[in-house]
Formats: sequence, structure tokens, C-alpha cells
Amino acid sequence: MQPDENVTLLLGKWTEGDKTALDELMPLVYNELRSLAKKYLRSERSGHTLQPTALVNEVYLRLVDQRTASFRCRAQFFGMAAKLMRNILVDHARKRRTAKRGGEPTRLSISTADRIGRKPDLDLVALDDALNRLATLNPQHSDTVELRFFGGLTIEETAEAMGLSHATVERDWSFARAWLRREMSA
Amino acid sequence: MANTPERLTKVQELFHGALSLEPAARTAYLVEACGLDRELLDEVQSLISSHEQEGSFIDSPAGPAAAQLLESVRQSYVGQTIGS
Repeated sequence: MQPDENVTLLLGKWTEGDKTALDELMPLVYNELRSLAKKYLRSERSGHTLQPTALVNEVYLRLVDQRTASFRCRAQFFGMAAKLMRNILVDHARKRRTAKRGGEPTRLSISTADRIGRKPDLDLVALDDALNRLATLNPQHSDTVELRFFGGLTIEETAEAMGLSHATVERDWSFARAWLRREMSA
Repeated sequence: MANTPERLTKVQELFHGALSLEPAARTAYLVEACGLDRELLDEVQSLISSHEQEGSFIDSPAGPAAAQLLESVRQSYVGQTIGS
């Protein structure tokens, strides 16, 4: 598949501040993310581990022309994709929770973390709820978490995507993390 | 609880202020800064202890956990195919 000229153009417009470009861009990226995710899910290959951050990256490579997109475009794209990834994952987790009789929460243990030592299991639905509460108090905090956690962005990339300084992102990230941990352990 | 944006901003300010100090100096700093607002003091202290907890899910990106989730969805698809 050739990178889509239209997508690259829309991304450029959005980066320059055109909000309507985002409305056109989002469904295209969402569809591509979903269809790629489905392709992976249906794949018969055993032992294949899907990494959402790799998935986001693959969608980027498929849709956006690398030669004309700036670093800032890339950061913006990953920011949006992180939001979409959150939607897809939390949606799956909520459906699974509903499907289970008694509505017991779907808990996932982080496999790599388990190998290192015991860490709390991740309840995506509880995280989503806590993030929504945080968003009402400070949207900048919840956006930071979205980019870092669901998009796998570094502090630098998050700063670029949000138009904030490195120091601000670092402070917000450490505070938001402490806040979420406490919310979710209460 | 910090249940307004303004309150959360205040809490974050004190959180970073306290963390920039030696652990031994933090309580005195917070008691002084919070004055009679006992709730504010409790709030900041609970966040500092949460900050100091060793490791938690949020430290690593959703990658590995999400991979597991997607894998388990895949397995349930496979199960359905066999069952039908």
C-alpha cells in the first residue's frame, strides 16, 4: 500500500491548526487501526505477540508519506492514534467484562512485569474510569497519560505532540501517575 | 479529595514542592503550607506515598498488557470457530 497523499495532506493541515482536518483524518486512522488489529487477531500464527505501539507505528507508515511529513506531524499523529488505541482496548475490555457472567472485572497481568517481579494487574476499565475523572480536573494530565501509556510515546515525543516543555510533561506525568495509582488502589 | 481543578493545581504544586526536598523536611514543609487545611495535607501525603510505591502497571506502556488482551480476544475467536 502506498502512503495516502490525502492523509498526509490532512495531517499537515491539522498540524497547522485546522481542526476540521482532524474530523476527516480520525475515521481514516481509526479504520486502519481496527482493520490491522483484526488482521492480527485472525492470524493463525501462534506465538505472535501484537504490540499496540508497533501497530500505531505500522498504521503511520501505511498512511503517511514519510518524505513530506514533519516531526511535528508525526507527534500529532501518534497523539491521535494513542486516543484511538485507548478506545479500541477499553472497548474490548468492557465487552469482555459484560460477557462474563457476574460482571467480574477483566484483569490482565503484564507478562514482562510478571517475569521481573510481582506487580499489580491492570484493570483497563478501572484505568479508563480513573482517567475520565482526571480529565474533568485537568485534561492536560489525562492527555499526558494517554500519550505515554496508550501511545507508548517518550517524554520528548509527548512534549512535541502537546506543544509543552519537556519539564512540564515530566512533572505532569509523575503527578498524574501518582494520582492514578492512588485512585486505582482505593 | 481534590475535586476541583483549582484544588488539584494546588495539590500538584505542593506535591512537587515536597518532592524537591529531602524526605525528612517534607512533613514540616507541608504542615506549614497547608495550615489548618488537614484534608489538603492528607491528599498531598497520600499522593507522595503513592509516588514512592515501587513499580506499577502505569510505568510501562500499554503494549504488553494490550497485547495480552488482544491475544485473548483472538483465542476466544478461535474457540468460537472450533465450537461452531
